[in-house]
Amino acid sequence: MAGKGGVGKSTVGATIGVAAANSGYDVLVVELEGYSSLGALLSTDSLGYEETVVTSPALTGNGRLRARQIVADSALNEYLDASIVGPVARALGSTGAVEIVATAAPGIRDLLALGKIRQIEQAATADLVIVDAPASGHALTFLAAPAAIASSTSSGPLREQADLAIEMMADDKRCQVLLVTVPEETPISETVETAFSLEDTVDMKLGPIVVNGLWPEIPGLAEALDQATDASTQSSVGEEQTSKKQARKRQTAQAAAKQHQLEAAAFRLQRQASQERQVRRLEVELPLPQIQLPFLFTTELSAEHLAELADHFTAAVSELSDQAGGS
Amino acid sequence: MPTPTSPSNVVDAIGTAEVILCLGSGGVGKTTTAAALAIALAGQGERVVVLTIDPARRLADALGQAGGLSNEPQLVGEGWRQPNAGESVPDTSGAVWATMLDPTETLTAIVESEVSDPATAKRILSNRLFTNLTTSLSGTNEYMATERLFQLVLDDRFDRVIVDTPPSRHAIDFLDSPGRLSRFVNHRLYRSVFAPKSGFLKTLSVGSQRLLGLLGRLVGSDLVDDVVSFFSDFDGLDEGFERRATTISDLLSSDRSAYVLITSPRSEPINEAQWILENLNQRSLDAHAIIVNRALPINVETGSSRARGDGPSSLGGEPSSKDPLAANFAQLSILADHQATLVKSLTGSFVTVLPEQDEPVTDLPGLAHLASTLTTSNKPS
Repeated sequence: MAGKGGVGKSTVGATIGVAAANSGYDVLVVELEGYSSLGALLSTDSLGYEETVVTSPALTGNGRLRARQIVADSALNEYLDASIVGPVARALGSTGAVEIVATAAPGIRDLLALGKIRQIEQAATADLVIVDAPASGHALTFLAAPAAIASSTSSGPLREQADLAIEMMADDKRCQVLLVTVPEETPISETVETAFSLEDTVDMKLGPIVVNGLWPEIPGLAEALDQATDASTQSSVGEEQTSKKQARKRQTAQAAAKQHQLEAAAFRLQRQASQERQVRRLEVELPLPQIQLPFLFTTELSAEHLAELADHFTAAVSELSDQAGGS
Repeated sequence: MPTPTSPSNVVDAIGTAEVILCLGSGGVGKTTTAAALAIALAGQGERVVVLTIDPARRLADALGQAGGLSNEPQLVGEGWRQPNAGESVPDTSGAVWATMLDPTETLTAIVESEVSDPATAKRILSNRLFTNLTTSLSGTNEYMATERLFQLVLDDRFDRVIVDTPPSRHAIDFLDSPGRLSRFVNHRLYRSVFAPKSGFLKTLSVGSQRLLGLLGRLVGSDLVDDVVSFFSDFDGLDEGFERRATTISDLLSSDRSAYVLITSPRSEPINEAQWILENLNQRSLDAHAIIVNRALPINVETGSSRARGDGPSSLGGEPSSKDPLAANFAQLSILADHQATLVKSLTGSFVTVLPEQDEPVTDLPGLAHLASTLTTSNKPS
């Protein structure tokens, strides 16, 4: 999963994890950067390098959901530790060599993180591995790392790692990229850009685009706004006939409250229309299937909300596979 | 409580600081706000340059000439100038320049000015470790931004420099970044392994050579050669880098610099903002102003039962569950209430709340409009 910061990538990761586990799969969610809110969302305090079995009330099926972290530097450390011998080397291997090597050849860090993911995939302890990749710009560099290293190294252990990663990434049965976005001008533009850059630089299949945070429609809201606008113009004439001060005051408060409701309705409709425009623009500029997730009017995302989003996700996926002929 | 000396708007709150650093997490409109701030100050007759890091394309197009922005400041077109109704003669002495950080170009310029021997300069600039420094050493982008900021401060064309800090895991990294390169180069372990021992022959120790042989097998010997040659060429240069790092750090922690914290009323950006505030305070610094972007433009009496949607049903309308107007109002009120609570948690600095725009600001008149909200009195309720 890749997407710009602030689009709810971690929420979507947790959603897909719960959706897949509730459909009976054994799922592992991997957080790459160590700063995502995945752990909090899945109600496990913080994710570590070891797997944690998630026990969220959102999980209702007979599948299983686990979560863990991959720290790129740890993967590099592991690699250097396993390869370097000798006391000086050990001293450097655990502290400084990581930074030197990673700086001189930045792709190595990313490659080893991908190598670690491949290792998890090969161990086949999970049916599905969801990786919360770095934010957009970095995601491109991240995914392009194996190819970059393969082109500059002709042999050796790194080249082997690169070839194995490329093999996994190119096989759409093993690996796909899910771009996550929100229906707003800048995120949609950047999603389209990222999709095309990915196509140009990395041999990977793009899965459906996940459009997160669509404000759901309230049936009859537009009509109610129209009617109320007409009615309030009429009633303002009638108000003139009320003579009692108290009654007028109450009516003024009521009118203000009503006015706020009308403004809120107008705002909601405007927001929905603008989101709709962005979704349509995405359809035109990036002809890929979309999975839309609703915005939830809540202050904190609870397990209940996560379950609700997961249900939406599952429904959207089955709709997509119906369209694709049940494949 | 407002005191007679408390500022009434963001520009007031910044005062006369010549460097204005915009801090905040990604996706809160940091670049746009930085550009608007530049326009607000230019509107008051100042010559301002805004250093952007990664502007959205349409914003870069709006600020830059054809072809977008580059490392060299470009004078921003006149589209931001507003006819000033209050004054008979509009002040046209102000101007805005915009530039986009190019880390490689910035570092190249530094090496070229620091290294007197052209052959050494050329060798450093073509070294793979060096060329990768700007893209892969964590914190280098921040570091290059501080170097670039320093160059701009010294540039006579500008009265003020506004910096849109790079997106990073934690925006505060910016403050620690000036010494990034000299810390890297001076790391005791690297020096003991990679730097040649001083003396006539300048040879590496036997232990180092064994290690380099091993590293070479793992990551390629070309790479190791580059690393060795980098440390050898950099020998003696680090003093200059260190001295400048100290100067820049001093500038950033002096009253010549002002911090503007930009956030948005959602849990994650507000948490990040709190974290930044704490870290500023630990350094005896403070945010001069906090700008909360993208607030829900909904009029609710926060915390009241009416805001929860119970009220409207007593107005003689349908029960809220059946009344779409009330249902919508109740939903938006939950959000607006939450946002208000989040905003209230930001204390100790001047806070201004800006309503969410339907479309992003992508042209100069749009920026000018945003700028006007930064100069008019705007206090949260």
